[in-house]
Amino acid sequence: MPEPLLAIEDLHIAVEDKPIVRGLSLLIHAGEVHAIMGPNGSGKSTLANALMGHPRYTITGGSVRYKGDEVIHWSPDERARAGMFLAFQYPTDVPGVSMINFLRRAASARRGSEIPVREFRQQLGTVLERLHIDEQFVRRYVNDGFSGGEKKRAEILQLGLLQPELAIMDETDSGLDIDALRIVAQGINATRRDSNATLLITHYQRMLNYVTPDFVHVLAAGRIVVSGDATLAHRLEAEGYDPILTEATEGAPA
Amino acid sequence: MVHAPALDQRLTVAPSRDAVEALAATLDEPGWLRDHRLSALATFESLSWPSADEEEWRRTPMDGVPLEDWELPHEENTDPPATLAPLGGDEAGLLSHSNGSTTEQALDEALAAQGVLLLPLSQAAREYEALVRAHLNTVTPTGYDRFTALGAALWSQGLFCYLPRGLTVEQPLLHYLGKRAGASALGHTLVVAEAGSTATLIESCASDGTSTSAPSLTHHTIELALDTAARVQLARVQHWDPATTAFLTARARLGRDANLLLASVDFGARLSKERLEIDLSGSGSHADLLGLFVGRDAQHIEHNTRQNHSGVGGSSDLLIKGALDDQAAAVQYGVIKILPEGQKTAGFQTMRNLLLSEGASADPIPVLEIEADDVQCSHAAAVGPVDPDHIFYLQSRGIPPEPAERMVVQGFLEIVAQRLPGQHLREAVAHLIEAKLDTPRASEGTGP
Repeated sequence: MPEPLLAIEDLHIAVEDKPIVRGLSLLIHAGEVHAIMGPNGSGKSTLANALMGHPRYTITGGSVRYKGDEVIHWSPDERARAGMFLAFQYPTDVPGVSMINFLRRAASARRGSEIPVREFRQQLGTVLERLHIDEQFVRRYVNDGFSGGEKKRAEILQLGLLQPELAIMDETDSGLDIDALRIVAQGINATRRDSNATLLITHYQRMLNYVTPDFVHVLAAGRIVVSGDATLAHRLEAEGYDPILTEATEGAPA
Repeated sequence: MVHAPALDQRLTVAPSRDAVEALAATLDEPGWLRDHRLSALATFESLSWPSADEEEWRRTPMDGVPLEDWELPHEENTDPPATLAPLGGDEAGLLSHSNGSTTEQALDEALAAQGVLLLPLSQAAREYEALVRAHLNTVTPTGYDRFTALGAALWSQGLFCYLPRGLTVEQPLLHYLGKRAGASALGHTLVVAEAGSTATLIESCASDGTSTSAPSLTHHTIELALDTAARVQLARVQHWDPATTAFLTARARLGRDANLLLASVDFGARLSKERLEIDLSGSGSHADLLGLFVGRDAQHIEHNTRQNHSGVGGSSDLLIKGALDDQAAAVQYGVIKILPEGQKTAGFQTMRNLLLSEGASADPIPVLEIEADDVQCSHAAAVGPVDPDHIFYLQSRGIPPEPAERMVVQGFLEIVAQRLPGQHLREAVAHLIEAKLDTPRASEGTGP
C-alpha cells in the first residue's frame, strides 16, 4: 500500500476546553472517497474545521499527517496551498470582495504564482459551464446575499477551480433541494481522480445516492465506532443510528 | 474708489476689517460682497469658538487646533500639490484653486451656452450679482458657528455652480483645492440647482506636507440649494497634509422630489471634523449621505450629521464606514430629526468602524429625534476588529493572513466606495485606500 494521503492517529480536539473529538483514527489514500456519518453533536464539523486549522479548535492530542507531513502546526493557508480543501457547512460572506477577485487570489495562491488574467478566465469559464453557473454569479460579493443553495454551489465552484488533493465536504448536502444536490454531487464526481481523495461528512445518506463512497465510518461521541463499505450507509438509512451504535458499543460484530 | 492695499503674498492674518477689505480688493469683488464679508466679520467677532459644553463638540480634541495667526496666502501661479488625486479624464468642467488663487478654469462650451455656470465665487458675485446674492449663505448661515463666520469673512477659494432649469450635465464637474504645507485655507462652494437639473460635482483637496509641517487650519463651507426634482451628487475627497486641522460645514436644502447624494471621503489631516446637514423640506425628497475614511497614526476623524425631515414622504439614508489603525480615533454623532410635519418619512443611518489595532478607537452615536408618528426609522452602529471567520475563510483557500485581512478591509470600504459617482472617482478612491493602508506607521521609518 502506498503512503496514505491523510493519516489521522488518535486525534483529540477540544473547543473552549471541552473535548469533542476523543481518539479518532482514519487513513485515507489517494483515489478513495470516505464518508463520515453520525448523529448531531458527534463531532463531525469539529473534525472538518480542525483538519483545516480553524483557530477556534484546539488539537489536544494525536497527529494529522498529510502526504507524510505533520500538519497540526500548519496555518490554514499553508494547508490549502498544499492541496487540502474544506467545503464549509456554513460558508462565510465577505461583503465588498468580489467572487472573481477572491477566486483569482485563491487560484494564484494554490498554484504558487500569479495566474495571468486570460488563463484564469478560461479556467473559470470551463468550471462555470460544467456546473451550469451563470457568469454574473462571480461578479457578486463572496457569499453576500447568497441563498443556501448558491453558497453550496460557490463552494463546489471553488472545489472545481482549486483542484485540491484532499477535499473535505462538511455537510455540503444540507439545505439543498434535489436539483441542487444533483449538481453538487456532479461537481464532486467530476473532480474525482486516482490522485485525489474526498472526505464527505454528512448526516443523511441521500448524498451517497449520488456520490458512492468506498468507505463509510460512523462517528459517535468523538470516535469512529464502526466502519464499512457503502452498504453501511444503506443500513443506517433503513434502521437509523441507534441499533448500529448499540451494536458497536456492545462490541458485537457489525 | 478706495484702493485697499493688495494682500501680502504670505500674510499672517488676524481677522480684521483691513484684512477683509484687502482680500475683497485682491479678488476684485463688488461692494455688496465686501459688505457681506464685513458683516460676517462682525458675526465672527460676536461669537466664541465652540466649546466642549456643546454636544457636537465635546468629543472633538481642540488641543492643538490653531485658532489664530493663520497664514492665508494669495499666491499666483502656484503649482497644485503633488498629492492632489487626479480625478479627471472625463470632466465637463473644472475649477482649480491653490494657495488662495484660481489656477485653472474650464467649462464645456455647449454647457456654458446653455447657461451652466462654473466660476470662482468672486467672479460670479461680480457678473451674476442677483443670482449669487439670492443664495449666498442662505443654506449655511454665516452665524452657524464661529468657523462658518470666519469662512464667510475671509474665504479665498470660492466656487459657484449654477444649473439651469431642466438641464442635465452628464459628465462630472471638478473642483480642485490645493495648498502648500503650513498654509491655511478658507473656501466656499455654492451650488444652485434649478428645478429638474442634474449634475455631479467632485471636490478634491490636498496639500503637500508632513506631520512636522507648521500647523494650519482649513475651513470649507458647502451650500447646496436644490429646487424641485433637481438631482445633485457631490463627492469630496480630503487629502490634506497631517499638520492640517480641517473643518467642513456642508448644508443642503432639498425642494420637492429633489435628490441628493453627498459623500465625503477622508484620508488626510490630523483632525478632520465634518458637519453634514440636510434639510429635507421638500415633500418626497431623498438624500443619501456617505462617509468613507481610513485613519492612521493619531488622526481624529469626526462626522456630525443631521438628517432634518420636515417634508412629507421624504427619505434619507446615511452610511459611514471607516477603518482605523495605529492610534487613530473616529467619532460619528448623527441625528435623524423628524419634525411633526414630516409624516411618512423614512430615515436610516448606519455607522461601522473597523479597528485594525489595539490603540485605535471609535465612538459612533446615532440619535433619533422623532416628533411625527407615521415614520420608519432605523439606525445601526458598530465598532470592532476584523471578523476572524472572514480571515479563516480566505485563509482556507490558500490566501495568507495579511493579504486576507487586507482583502476584508478593502471589501468593507468597497461597500461605500461603489456608491460614489463615476468610475474615475471610484478607481482613484480605491487606490487612495490602498496607499493609505500601505503607509508605514509614523513610528516606523524614523531611524534610530
